[in-house]
Amino acid sequence: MDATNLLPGSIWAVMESAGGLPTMRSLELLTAGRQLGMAGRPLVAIGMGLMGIAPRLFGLGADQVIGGDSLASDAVEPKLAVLTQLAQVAMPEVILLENTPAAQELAGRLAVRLNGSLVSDCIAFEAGRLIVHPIFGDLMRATVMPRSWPLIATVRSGAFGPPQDDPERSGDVLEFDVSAANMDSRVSLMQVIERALAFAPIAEARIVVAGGMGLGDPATFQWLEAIATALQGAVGCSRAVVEAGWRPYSEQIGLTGQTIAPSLYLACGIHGASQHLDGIRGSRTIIAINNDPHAPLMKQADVAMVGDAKELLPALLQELRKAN
Amino acid sequence: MKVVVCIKHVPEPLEPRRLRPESLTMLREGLQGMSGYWDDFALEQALLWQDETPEIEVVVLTMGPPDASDTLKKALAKGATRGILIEAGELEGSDLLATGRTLAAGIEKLGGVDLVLLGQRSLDGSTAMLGPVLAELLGWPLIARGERIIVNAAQRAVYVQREATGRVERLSCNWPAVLTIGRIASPPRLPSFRGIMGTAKKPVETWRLADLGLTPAEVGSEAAHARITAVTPSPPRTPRVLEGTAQDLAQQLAPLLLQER
Repeated sequence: MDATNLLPGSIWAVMESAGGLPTMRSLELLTAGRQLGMAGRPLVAIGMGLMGIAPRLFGLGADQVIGGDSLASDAVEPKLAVLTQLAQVAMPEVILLENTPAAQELAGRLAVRLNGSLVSDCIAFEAGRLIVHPIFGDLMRATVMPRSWPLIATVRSGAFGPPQDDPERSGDVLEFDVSAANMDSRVSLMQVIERALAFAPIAEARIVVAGGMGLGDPATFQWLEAIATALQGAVGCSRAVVEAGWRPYSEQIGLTGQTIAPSLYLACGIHGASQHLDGIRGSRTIIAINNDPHAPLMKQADVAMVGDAKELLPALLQELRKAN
Repeated sequence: MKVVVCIKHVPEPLEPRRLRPESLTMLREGLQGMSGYWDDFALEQALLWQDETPEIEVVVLTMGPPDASDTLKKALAKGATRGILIEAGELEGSDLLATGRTLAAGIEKLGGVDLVLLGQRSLDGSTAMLGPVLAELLGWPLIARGERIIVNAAQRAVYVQREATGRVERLSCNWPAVLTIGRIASPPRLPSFRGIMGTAKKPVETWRLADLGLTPAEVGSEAAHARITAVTPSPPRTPRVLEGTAQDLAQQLAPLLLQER
C-alpha cells in the first residue's frame, strides 16, 4: 500500500458486506457521509470486497474506495488492527459505521485507540459539525458536539436512506494488505450453526408486522405470517405474547427484546407499554390497529385504525393478494 | 476466580425523564431507580457460577449517584460478595469514554479480576458500546451478547454461545476478558430473606476519584469528548384516525403497505 495515496482529513464509511456485496445499511453510510456538511471532505468507502464494485461506489458518492481481503475476517480484532493502522496514517476526520453488534465493538475500541469522540445511533447531522442522536428510546434527541477528532459514529439504519446515484462520478481505488502478525484474534469462533429463517430478522426488515394480546389467540398469528410473507417483511410481537408462550423471544419487540427501526411498523392489537414504545420510535411510519382508540400505541402512531385486528387481518391479506 | 459485574442504576421506565437545564444531564433526584434489565441477567450469570463454586468472588460495581447504593444492596442481598459505588459530583456528564475510564480504574484497583460482565445494553442510553470501550481500556478481549456461558477455571477459558442473524455462534477466549450478557436461560433471582438479613454485614463501599487515582479533568463533562449541547423532545406523531368496517380499513391499509415493499 502506498500511504501517500491516502486522502487526509476524509470521512470514512466502514462498509460491511453480505454475499460479497455491501449491505443496504452500509450504502446508507455514504448518504450520511455526504450530509455531514463538511464541504470538500473526501468520502472514502472502506471494506472487503469493494474493489470489484468501485465504479458503482463512486456513483453513489465515494471519492475513494479502499479494499482488501484483510478486512474479510468475521472477527472484530483483525479488522480493528487494520483500521487502526490505516487511520493512524490517513488521519480521517470522521469514521462512520453501521449500528450492528460487530460494528459497535469496532467503534468503541477504535474510539479508545484513536482518542476520538464516540457517538452512537446518529440520525442526522447539523451545521457546525453537530450530530443528532436519540436518547431514552427516542423520547428526546440530543445534539452532540465532538471535541476530539476523529469522530467515530454509528449510524441508525434507515435514517439517511439510500445514496443518490450519479454514474458520471469517478474516484480512485486503493488496495492494501497488512502483515499477517496483525491478524490474530484473541477470540476464536469455534462453531457456527446455520439456521434457516422463515422471515427476515425484525431488526433488519424494512417492514415489520407485529401482534399483541389483542389478537386473542396464537392461531391469529398465521394471518400475520402470511402478510409478512406477502410483503417480504418480518413477524414481531409484544412482550406479553412471548410471556404467554405464543411466540418465540426472538420476535419480541421493545427495550427488553429488540429495538427496531423499520421503514414501516404495523402493530396489531398491541396496547403499547412504555418499554415497547421505547423500542419502536425509530420506525419511519407506524400504523396501529386496535379496538381501543385510547391505547397508548394508537396515540403514537401515524395511522391509527380503530377496529378488530382479528377481522381486519384476513381482509387485508385478501387485498394484498388481489394486488399481486 | 474473581468476577466483576458492572451495573447501571437507571430510573424506573415509567418515571418521567427530565434534564437539568444548565448541564443537560439527567435529573435523577427523587426518581425510583433500579438495575437495568440486562444487568440483572449479567448478575444472575455470575451468581450461577457462585452457586456451583462458592469460592467465586462476585463484586458488583457501579458508577452513579448516591442512591445507586440501593441497587448495590439488592445485588448483595441476592448473594454478591462485595458492592462498590464509585460516586463523585465530578463524574456527572461523563460520556462513554469517561465512564469506561472510571470503571476501568475501579477494576484495576480491585486487582486480580478474571471476568467483567455487563448487560448487553443499558435501558436508557442503549449504546451497547460501554463493554467494548471498557475492554479496550483494559486491553482485554470481549465477547458480546452471550446467552449460554461456560467457564473452565483450569484453562482460564470461557465458552460463549450467542444468536446472530440466521445462525448460532460458539466462541471462546481466555481470561481476563469482558463479556456482555444477553438473555440467559435462567431468569434473574429475587433477593432471599437470608440474603437481605446478611447485607447488614456487607456494607456498600464508596470510592471517590482520589481512591481511583483519577483527577476531575479526566472524567465527567470536563473530559467528555462528545459534549451534549442541546436536548429536544422528538417530533411527535399526530395520528390520522381511521374508522370503518374491517373491509374498508383493509382497503385503505393495503396500498400503504404495498408502497413500502
